[in-house]
Amino acid sequence: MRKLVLLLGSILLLWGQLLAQSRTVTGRVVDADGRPVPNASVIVKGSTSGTTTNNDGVFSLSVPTGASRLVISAVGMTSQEMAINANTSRYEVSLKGEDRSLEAVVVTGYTARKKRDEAGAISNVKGREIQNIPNASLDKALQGRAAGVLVQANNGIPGGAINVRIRGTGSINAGNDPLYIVDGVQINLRNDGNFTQNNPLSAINPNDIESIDILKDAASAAIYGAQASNGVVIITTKKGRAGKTRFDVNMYWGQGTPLRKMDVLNSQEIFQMRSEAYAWPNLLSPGDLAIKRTVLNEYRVPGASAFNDKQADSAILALPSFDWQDASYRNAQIRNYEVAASGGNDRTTFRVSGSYSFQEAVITKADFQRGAVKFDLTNKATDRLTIGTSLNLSTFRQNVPFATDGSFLGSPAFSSPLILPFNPIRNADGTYFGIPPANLAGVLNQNIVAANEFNSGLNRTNQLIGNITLDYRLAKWLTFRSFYGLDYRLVQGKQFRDPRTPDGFALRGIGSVESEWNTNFMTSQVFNYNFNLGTKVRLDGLVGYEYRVENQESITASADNFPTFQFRTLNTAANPRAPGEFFTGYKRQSVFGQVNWNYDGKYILSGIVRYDGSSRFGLDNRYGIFPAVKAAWNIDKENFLAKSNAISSLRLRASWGLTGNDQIGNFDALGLYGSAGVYNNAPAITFSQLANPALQWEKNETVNFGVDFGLFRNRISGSVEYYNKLTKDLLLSQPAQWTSGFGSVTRNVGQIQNRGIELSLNVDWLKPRMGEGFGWSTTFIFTHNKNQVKKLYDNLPELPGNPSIRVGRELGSIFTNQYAGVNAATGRPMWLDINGNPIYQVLAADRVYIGDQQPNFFGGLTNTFTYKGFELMIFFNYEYGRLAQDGQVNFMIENIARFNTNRDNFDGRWKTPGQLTWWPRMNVNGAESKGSGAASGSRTWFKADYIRLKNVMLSYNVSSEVTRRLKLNSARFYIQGTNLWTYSDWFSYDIEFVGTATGIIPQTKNFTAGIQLGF
Amino acid sequence: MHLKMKKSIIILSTLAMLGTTWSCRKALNIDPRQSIPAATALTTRDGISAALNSVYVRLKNTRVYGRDLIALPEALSDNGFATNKSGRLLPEANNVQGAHFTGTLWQAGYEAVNQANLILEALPAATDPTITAADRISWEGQLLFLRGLFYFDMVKVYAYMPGADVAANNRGGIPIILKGTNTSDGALSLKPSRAPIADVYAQVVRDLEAANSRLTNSFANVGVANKAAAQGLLSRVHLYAKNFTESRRWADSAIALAGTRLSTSTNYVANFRTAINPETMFQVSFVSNPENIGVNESLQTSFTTLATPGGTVTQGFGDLVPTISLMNGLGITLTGGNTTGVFNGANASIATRSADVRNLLYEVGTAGRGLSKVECTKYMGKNGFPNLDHIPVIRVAEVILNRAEAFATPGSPVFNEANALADLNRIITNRGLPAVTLTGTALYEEILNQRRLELAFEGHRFFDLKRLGRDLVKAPHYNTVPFFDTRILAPLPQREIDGNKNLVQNPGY
Repeated sequence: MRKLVLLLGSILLLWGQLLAQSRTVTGRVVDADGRPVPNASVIVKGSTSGTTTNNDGVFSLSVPTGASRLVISAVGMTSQEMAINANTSRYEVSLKGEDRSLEAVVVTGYTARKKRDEAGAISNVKGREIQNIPNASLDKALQGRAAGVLVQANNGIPGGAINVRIRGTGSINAGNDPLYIVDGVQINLRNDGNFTQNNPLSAINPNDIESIDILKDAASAAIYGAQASNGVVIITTKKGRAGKTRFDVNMYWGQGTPLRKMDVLNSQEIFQMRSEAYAWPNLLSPGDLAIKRTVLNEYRVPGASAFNDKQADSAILALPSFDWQDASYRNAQIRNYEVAASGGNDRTTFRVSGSYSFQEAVITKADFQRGAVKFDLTNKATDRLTIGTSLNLSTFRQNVPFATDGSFLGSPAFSSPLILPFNPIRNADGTYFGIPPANLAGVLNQNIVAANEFNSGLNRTNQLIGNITLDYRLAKWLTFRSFYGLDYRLVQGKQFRDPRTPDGFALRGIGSVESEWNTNFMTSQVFNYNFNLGTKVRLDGLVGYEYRVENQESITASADNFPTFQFRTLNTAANPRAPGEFFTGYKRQSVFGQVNWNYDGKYILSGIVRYDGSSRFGLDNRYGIFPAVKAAWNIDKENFLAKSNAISSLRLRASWGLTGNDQIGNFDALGLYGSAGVYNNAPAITFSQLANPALQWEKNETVNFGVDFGLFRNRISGSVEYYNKLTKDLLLSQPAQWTSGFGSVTRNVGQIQNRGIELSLNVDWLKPRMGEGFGWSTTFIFTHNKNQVKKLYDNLPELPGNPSIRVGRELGSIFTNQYAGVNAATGRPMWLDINGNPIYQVLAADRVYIGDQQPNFFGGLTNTFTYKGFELMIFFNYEYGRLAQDGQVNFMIENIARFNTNRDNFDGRWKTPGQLTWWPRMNVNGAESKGSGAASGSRTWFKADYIRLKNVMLSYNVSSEVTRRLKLNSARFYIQGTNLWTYSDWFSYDIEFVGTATGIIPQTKNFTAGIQLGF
Repeated sequence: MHLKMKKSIIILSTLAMLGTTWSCRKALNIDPRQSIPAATALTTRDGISAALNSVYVRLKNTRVYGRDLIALPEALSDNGFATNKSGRLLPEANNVQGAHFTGTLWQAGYEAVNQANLILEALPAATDPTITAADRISWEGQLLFLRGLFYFDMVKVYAYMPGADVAANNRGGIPIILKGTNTSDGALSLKPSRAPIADVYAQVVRDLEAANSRLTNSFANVGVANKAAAQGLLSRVHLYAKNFTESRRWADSAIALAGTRLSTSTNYVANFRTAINPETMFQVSFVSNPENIGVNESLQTSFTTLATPGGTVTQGFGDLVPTISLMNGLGITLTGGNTTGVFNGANASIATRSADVRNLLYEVGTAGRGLSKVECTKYMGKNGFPNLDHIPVIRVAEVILNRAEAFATPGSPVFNEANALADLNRIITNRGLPAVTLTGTALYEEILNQRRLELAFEGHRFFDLKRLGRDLVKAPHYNTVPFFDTRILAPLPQREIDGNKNLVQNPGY
């Protein structure tokens, strides 16, 4: 209570002091190249009055008459003091920013350090780089912006899951997700909803982010021990800064359109293919009357059985074609509104922000709507004690799609290109065609447009990410930090299958609800020390203890038989069914320490160790030690380089470390009997899992070498990293013979290696002089990663039953039959046998390695052009060397013509003997007699190389003359486009996807326009 | 508060917290709630009873009796023609290499076997006082019956039957595991090889005979192993193994237990329309809707588009329908639909029906999923929900036909044409047809023909042709699959071959 009074008191005090002003000082803050520094803090030394600079670096501040000095500071730059006197009222301040990349502060886990003092491989992405890009979650925005970080998605649902892989995929059965930490709170990343994908990181408004630090090498991540082997992503949110309270308003609006429509056939073309499908295996001509009648009957043309040739032909010509894709797609709306207030004095700083964001998918009802409130407060209670809190309260609501993916008949994302095109969408009177008890002709017999309108579903995620920090300075060299963090999430979902749709018709409506809650609490108690030994040697580091407990619980229920379609709550249903309840949880405790030795800023040596325990592992192996060392040599501080003109900064780094991966099931080490369903109304249990008391961490050993350089007054700067990451004692579901009664046992066997090179390069081609003239800079990010399975067990060359895991190959290597094209004489597809001869029917023994599913290299390229207040930013990302399979395409390239198909299939298909082609003849049976499946083997794997124009933003900063007249601090307008253009051979929805891609919700091409005002 | 005091309080409380949590071994203890420790699961009456249920549950798997053991023998043989309405069962009907019983049958089968072994081993040590002697006998009887049934269902799929093999393709039977696995090391070190076919059949017979001596006769709940089921199954196993004396002996006994349960021509259809057909001696029970296999793969959806017999509402896919030859046998003539093989021009309509009441279980489906066909309506969601049916495994009519065949097979030690004819006519006359007088090959063939008609769409035909070493003659729908073709045998799961050098794959895979 006393603290609260104190806190409120200090806020009031701040206001009071802001009112007691007397003289105005104006000025401009620029960096060493004369570029304006926006958002720099300008404070009157010894007082609490201050302000921040606008986008032109200009500030205007009322100072008390007795004031003599200003303190100017900005993120990533050295603070500077400046004398003021009564005679001058306009000042120009140049902040040292020439060594921007190295003087910047990086957050390294439980502490923050200058990049120059840090020897690990850490990528940093500034909040500025990703702000206002219409992504629901920040992880998507990392794509192409940090070397070594591969960002992919298996879906385009707004707020959906994103796969982030730092330095390759190191684990087969344990998780490969990095550890995410938001303001010290370790986030649980699980998608909890059953009805749609809900990415927990979507709870955070990306525009609240100040910076993202990615700990890539094991030595940097080792402070997080057994959670860190996939890397650590540390997110620091924006905080208040001392100075006059500043208000920022940020709004953008826009629209998303489909990336691509599938090029499918009209009714006459698909009729032709279907006729051939009947004709070829039955040795008939496609124009045979019996075939025409059959297909017309299938297409439900009345009286077709009695048609003569002429009648049949005119009936075929009369078939209409409807565009189900157009009917299923929409233009997606994008809206975002934010307001933030921040400020404070030298004892208390705060920032409050509120935001509302809305984004739709182009297909189905899927959307994303987030309201978030963020509150940060820091108070220096005494000279020794600082208390702080950071709270992110957020709720996001998603209308759920019919299905997130999969070949569901009612899913518009799956069915819209495939429905036979003569089926109308609506009847003449405007009602929907083919809704139950009627249906559409063909296998895809559901009116997806109607189903999409009638069905409903909602998923709400309420999330609190918050922390309380107490910092207590025990001595000049020693501080103690007590940290308490909570990541609490409640996911509530509801789905209703309308009785007017085929899925709900027979049961008169099916309703399902779920509620899942996740409590993730952690605390750490850390001592930080920092002292000098003599004049040249500095020692700093930390010692700490951490405890984390996480529980997840859920309940689910469903019911069917509703009175009418308007009733959608379960209590109105006649037939309750399938209630469910679930619990899981784990605990972890650890001690850790770090010591950094710094000699004269030239030589840096760090040692880290963590002792970790987790409830997930066997009783014999619950605790493990994770040590690491790293070293750096700042060569540019040496005398022989100090005067070099060419080399402005240069440092070498090396590190070795051991981290762990514990991302397995919470109870995988135990021998358990679990539920096995029901028989004859009696419950059943079965031996579900064998005990493995020796189960322990997967170990990850990484060696890293890095060079940071700056040339020609840092006009060219960047980093090169080489790493060799060896994952040992893999947490592998080792297959057991099914004859034992078990499918697998989780054991620590096998090794995987990831080796790679990362390059981050920044070139300032043109620098504006004193903020005038033309500026051009380029940032290039390149990553090469080579993944290899080094060892399995029992000297096996491949994992039993899973040829994609082979010793000497990448994880996800593709081991399949090589497609050999079509036999020109018969039109039948052929594959190569193991001796290279084309045959119709191949065996498991004929499979060969044809490539893998991981990109060989990937990255991004950003070009930024500035002229006066204008800035044009153009960002490309790229991937090369990955093969991918697309489930949607696999349906489209069928040779049965039971669905609509793509034009390549129509144009390329075998039609006549002697025709050389890649596309087999149609056959209503799918596979030819004594032949392998037509859509199998290497035929279904495609190159997934691409370059995508990911983002283009043109912005204009209104000049300070104008803003001043408008009584604004800053004003900025911009227009932006995302996913504008793609270079690739891909012919399905979207090349960026990983996974099966069947019936996924596609990404969109977005155009947005926005305005940012500060006052 | 004094500053120094505050400082020491912080340090002390931190150290105290550190100390207590770290020292306490319980800091990392957390127990699952949906599972119990394996070590204690089989010590209580309820635990054993629930574990026993899990062996039955495996029978419900879609790749076991849920669909495959019933639908695939029809698709692979000359009974079923695939409509391609959902695309399911088309590769199987077309005998595409590899489109066969899947590894899941093997997986579920051996899981069931292991669970049965573990319970059998745990029973003597289970000291829960509420366990009665009758419990133990009943449990043992059920477990042995189920183990025998699983071994039989697996060996008939993955191996040749005794006395009907292609020597060049014969790789033996399947592994026999009679000891439970309950440790990781035990599971990982188990690398069994295929036992000889005769050994597997001998094991099946041992299990079923042991089950028979423990089980009691009761038709009250045919979802649970019972004496008549064990005896009926023994008559089939021995028929497959060509032990005609034994087949006849067990058939005699089972038929006696069944009494008058064979349907007559008057109640045949009605009996098939009730949830539990009185003829059933053992079935896999699907009681409540959460157990429903659903609209993609249930037997109802596999065999018919109809929601109800005689109805017009489209429910299922109707993926597999009777072939022309089967319909001819059943006395149905039709136009359109199934008539012209794989390719046809019109909706089906039935022209005439013979007096055979069995053909009343076949009718024209809807055109809701494409051209209508004549479809089998033996599974119609008879438990109150679409797609929810009990699945009969053995019924009286089959046992009678088992015995008829044992009597009529040339060279049978119990060869007796008069007895064979009596059994045959008992079936025929109860199906609305006049009695016949046949001898020799004609009698034998008519018994096989009646077996096909009687048990169509109940999962017998492929195995009956296979045990007799006959080709799969599929004209006019598909090409004939000769008996020497490798497609007669299902592939063993590739993962089992990959991980076990002792296990030999069937040829052609």
